[in-house]
Parts: sequence; structure tokens; C-alpha cells
Amino acid sequence: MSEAAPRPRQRWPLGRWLLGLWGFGLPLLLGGVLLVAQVAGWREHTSLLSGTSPGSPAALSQGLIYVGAWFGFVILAPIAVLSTVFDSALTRLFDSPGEGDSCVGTPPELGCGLGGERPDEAQ
Amino acid sequence: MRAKRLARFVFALSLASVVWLSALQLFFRPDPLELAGPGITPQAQALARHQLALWGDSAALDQSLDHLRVNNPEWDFMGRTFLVLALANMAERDPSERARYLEVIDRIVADTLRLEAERGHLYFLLPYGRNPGWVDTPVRSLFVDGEIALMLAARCLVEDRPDYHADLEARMRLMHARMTAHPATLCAESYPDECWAFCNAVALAALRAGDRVLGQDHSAFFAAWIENAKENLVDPKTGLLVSKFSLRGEVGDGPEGSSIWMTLHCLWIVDQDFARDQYRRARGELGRTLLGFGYAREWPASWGNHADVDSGPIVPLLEASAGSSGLALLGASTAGDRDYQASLIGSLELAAFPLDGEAQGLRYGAGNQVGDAVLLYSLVCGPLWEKLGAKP
Repeated sequence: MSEAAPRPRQRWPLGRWLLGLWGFGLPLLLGGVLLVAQVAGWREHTSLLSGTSPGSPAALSQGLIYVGAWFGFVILAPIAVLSTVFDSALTRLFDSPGEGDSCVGTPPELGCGLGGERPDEAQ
Repeated sequence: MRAKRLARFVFALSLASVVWLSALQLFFRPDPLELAGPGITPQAQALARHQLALWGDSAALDQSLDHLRVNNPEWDFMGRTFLVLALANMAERDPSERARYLEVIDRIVADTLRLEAERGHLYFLLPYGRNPGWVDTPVRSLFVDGEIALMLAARCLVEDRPDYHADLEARMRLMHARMTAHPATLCAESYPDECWAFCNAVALAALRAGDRVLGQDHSAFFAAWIENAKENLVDPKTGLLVSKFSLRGEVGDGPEGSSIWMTLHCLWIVDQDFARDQYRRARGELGRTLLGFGYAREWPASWGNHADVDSGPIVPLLEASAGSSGLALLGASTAGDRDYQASLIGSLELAAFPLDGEAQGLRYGAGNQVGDAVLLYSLVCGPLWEKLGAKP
């Protein structure tokens, strides 16, 4: 590689975008919605789960949003984060240097994983 | 390559799901050993603090009970019964607070009797209780007489109130007369020609407790009732008591989770061997544990499935019912099944949205006042039943 060669444009393949959204974007979104719902006091309106009317259609909607955000944050978000961490770890563990989908040359902060073409694949 | 990456992701996702779902119970499920013991757990104390505060604030109480009554007037009534029973047990567990608990019990009893006198005996029933078709006249509901008698007797068992005796004795005499008048079932109506195992078991418990208070003896009737129930009121497929039937014994609803757990709790002081057998069967047919979280079905698999006002919504696939799961806590506590009780409390902490404030106490957002009272009772029950001869 000569010094004069242009630096390759770093690509973020679709797979990695999706993985980033799944592993970090979704938990952040769920956490944000839950935080807003918690501060707004919508936890009070979850009695629909026992068949008790929360009082008004608005309260019913708020309760449903709270229930969805809670279970999303407590069950789905940790699984999303863990699966992303495991996927990256597996990639680092099993992909040998020189394989097309290896992470060799990928800056560590970018990580690998689903759709983990290394940035220098574009060369 | 893409297939390999996808397979790797699916494997990572599966591994993450297994790891997290297995670990989730660690954050919510209490240690079963914490649930045993003679004292009152912090959770029960916090629940009681909320209930006592409610009964000390008439505006908040009216608002809470009005909300309950809009959904189901029975819940208003049952919330009173469960709270009285809980406070009576707490008075036994903590004699230093006995006077305070008895004062609230008396307030609940007085308010209940006042409402019955002013609004009529059927005030706490669902609207169809006013339909024609009652067989026994004058119209009385065993649901109302049984629970009021049990409240009166529970209060007197903790500390006698001779001025309650006349009402207690009258209701006991009436209940016994009406139950024995129907030899096919030895049961009385809660609604027009509609008997409930739940209400009849409560009536039996009231008779048992009343016997101790008034020095009477209905043991021959108890033995006859149990024999008759084994013969005529047990579902042949599951061996569980059916929940709803006519005075002639025609079955309406089969074994039902929201009924059987309280039924066996009451029968525990009538015939403990039969009640223990009912618990074992109910645990097998209705009790479930998934990933360390407990829940209960409303109906056995052999009885199909439908949601009603007692069951609350039923979660698809799991078939979990809020009503049955809440009362399963009482069944598990009665039978000393600490592991199942802990798993049910774990589910409550995960999915019932505790609303905890130091001053306001604890209640559950996903439930209501009667649900909180059932939970409180399930956490403190024991001493009163032991007074009546139940073995732990």
C-alpha cells in the first residue's frame, strides 16, 4: 500500500446498522419511553392487567404503553444488549484473519458482528 | 458468508435469551425462607400500611371503593373480608399493635353492617342478584351472610366482642338451616338458584370459627358436608370441587382457579385431609411455574377456557389468570408450599407493578384493593386457623 493511495471510504453495511439498532438503539428507545411513562405516573394505570378499568380511555392507553415499555425494557432490552455482545465476541473468537468477513483491520470501536464486513473490504 | 453471520447472530440471540430469562427471577423472586416465620414480613407491613391509611381517610376510601364497585360490587365486599382476616392474623402475630388492628376491624364491620342495613342485603351482589329465581325465601345470599359471619367470628377470636354474638349466632343459624334444607348439595344460594363452592366453604369456616366463639358444635354437619361434596360436587376428571352449581347439584362451572384456592383455604379448618388433597390437585391442574415465575390457570386443561369477571383477563398461551394467580398465593400459603408462594410473589414483583411509598405503604398498580387485601392475607394467614385446630 503506497503512501499516496487514497484512504478507503469506510462502509457501514446494513447488517451492522441493524445490529447497532437492535443492540443499542432499541434498549435506549425502550428505556426512554419507560422513563417518560414512569415520570408521568402511568404505572398507576396498569390495572387493566387484572380486569379492573383504569378509569378512562386515556388512562387505559397510558397503562398499555407503560406495560409495553416495562416488559420491553426488562425482558427484550437486556436480551438485545447481550446478544449483540455475544455476537461480537463470537466474531472475534472464531473469524480467522484473512476471511472475508473477518474484523481484521476494523477499528475496535466499530466492533464486528452481523454484516461485519471490515471497512477495508472496499479496497 | 451472510448465512454464516446470520447463523452466528441467531446463536448469540438464543444464548442471550437463555442467559437472561434464566437469570430474571433472581431480581424479583424472594427467598422462600423469608416467607415462613411468626412475624410480619416487610412486604406485609407495607401492604398493611396502605390498607390502614385507606381506612383512615374517608375520602380516599370512598374513591377507592367506588372505583371497585364500578367494576364489581363483590370486590368491595370481599376486600373488606380479606382485610379483616388479615388484620385479625396480624393482631395475633404482633400483640403490640393489636388494639390498632382491632379498631380498624371494628370500623370495617360497622361500615359493612350499616351498608347492608341501609342499602339492602343484596347491595354487595352483582346486578343479576336482583333477578327473580331465588329458591329460598326471604331472599338471602350465602355470599353475604357467610363473609359477615366470618368477619364477626374472626374479630371475636382475637378478642371477644359479646355485642357481636347475637348477629353472629343469627347468621350461623340461618346458614345452617338453609344449607341443610337442600340434601342434594347441603349448600345454600349466593345468587338465584346458584351455589358457589367458594361461598359455601366460607360459610363452613364461619360456622367453625363461630362454634369456637359461641361454644356450639357443627362437627356432624361438617362431616356430612364433606362426604356429600366428595360424592356430588367433585369433578370426576380432576378430583377438584366444581365452582358453581344449582341447589339440586346441577353443575354450572367446573373447577375454577379463582374459587378453588379460597375454598380449600376455608376447608382447611373443616377437614384438613380433604383440603390438602384439593391443594395437591389444584397445584397440579392449575398451578404453573415458568422460568422461576409462578402463575395459575383459571380452568384445568380438561375444562376449556374462558375469561370472566372472577378470572380477569387470561394471558394467551400461558392461560395465566390474574384472579386465580392472586388467590393461588393464599392456597400456597395455607398449604405451606413456600417455593410456589415465592414464585408467585416473584411474578407479582415482575408484572403487577408495585407502587411503594414509605408513607403511603405498598399497593400494586396492576391490581386493586381486593387484590392487595388478598395478598396481605396470604402473607399473614396462619395464626387464626391454628387457633381453630389447623396444623401448620
